[in-house]
Amino acid sequence: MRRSLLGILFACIVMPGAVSAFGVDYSYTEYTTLGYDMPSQTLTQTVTVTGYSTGSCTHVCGPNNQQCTDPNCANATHVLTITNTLGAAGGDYTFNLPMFYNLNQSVAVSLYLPVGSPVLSGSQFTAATSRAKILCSFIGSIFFDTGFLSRYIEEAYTRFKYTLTIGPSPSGGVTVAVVTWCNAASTPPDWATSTIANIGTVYPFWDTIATCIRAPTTAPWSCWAPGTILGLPKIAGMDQPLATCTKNP
Amino acid sequence: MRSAIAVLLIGLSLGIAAEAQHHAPLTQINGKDHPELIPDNVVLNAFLEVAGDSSKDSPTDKARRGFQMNRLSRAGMTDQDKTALSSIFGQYKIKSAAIADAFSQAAQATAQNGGTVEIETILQQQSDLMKAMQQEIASTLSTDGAAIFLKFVQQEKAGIVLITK
Repeated sequence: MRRSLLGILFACIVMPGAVSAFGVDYSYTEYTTLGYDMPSQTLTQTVTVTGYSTGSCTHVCGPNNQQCTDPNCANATHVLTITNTLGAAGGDYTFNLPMFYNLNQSVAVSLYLPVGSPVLSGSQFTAATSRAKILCSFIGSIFFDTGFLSRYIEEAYTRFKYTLTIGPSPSGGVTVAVVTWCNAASTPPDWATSTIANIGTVYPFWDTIATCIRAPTTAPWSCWAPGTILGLPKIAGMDQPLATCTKNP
Repeated sequence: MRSAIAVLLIGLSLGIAAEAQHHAPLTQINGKDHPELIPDNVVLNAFLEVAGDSSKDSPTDKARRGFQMNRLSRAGMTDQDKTALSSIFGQYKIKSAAIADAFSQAAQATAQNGGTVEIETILQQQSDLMKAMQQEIASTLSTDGAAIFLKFVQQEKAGIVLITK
């Protein structure tokens, strides 16, 4: 036993070329989407990992410099862990992979957030995370993304006043020009736009809810087009009151 | 003596691992900071995985893919263009999965038998597939629909992190 251990030790020290033959190269893409679906009233975050690992488990060995395959490398496993959480929903999802592979793996997490829940009233929803990492049994952690560790999400409420009809929208209805209709304390709101598309019936006012995201807390909000659009009439010929829109600077 | 040798061997093994890990420099590109460094093909491939129908889909999977396609509606795409795009995605997802599966099986056999797993061929195949899909999208969708999809692809780069070593 001692002789064989010494033999391996000798091989590792005397033949450094044996080390350089090992190699794993890889390329991964982590793709995160987030959006609010009004009909089902759910917030959905999807984390997708695509990519590959490639390389060699072969090294030069023996007195005649023959090629040897390291079984610890060839039989190594990769464990892909995708972390995808929205509040209490989701968690860690693991997938077992061989040493070399080409993969497409997607994990979606949905959270039921009915209109009127705190997040939709403008409070910041802080517990959204997405992350992917791959742990190789041979060389350890080879991919650890910290780019999207946590985000802040809100459903931003904004009231708009109609100013004019621009023309037909590509996917039906019309596109209208609008201005925000928020009180002084909530102006400018977190989400604002100068046009709203796909309007079936033109109203003098619209209440909207858009999904917004930012990281860190001081960054500007980045919002999607509203998932909710509610047309409002004038009240006895008078304008709707200025609304308290969502504003979390 | 034996334990000392074992400790030394473990240390050398870790050295091999570290050498393998640092075989090439690692680069990480965050699409929200540098969208110009994210190739269109990367987004196309990722969105195809998320939005393209699969024969293995559960009802929940189908609903989630429908949700992804509805994001294109919000971007202004018509239902007709969306249906055409969904059909294209279905065809190309099967082709993409076949290329990936063939590589994974061949790569594992190569690793076991000795030799170097080469990725260049499959990368070229995947690149050709995405180019063909782009061309089919451009020729099948309306001009407005194709333009909306192209703009959508650029916007989606903000959600991409690309890591290469």
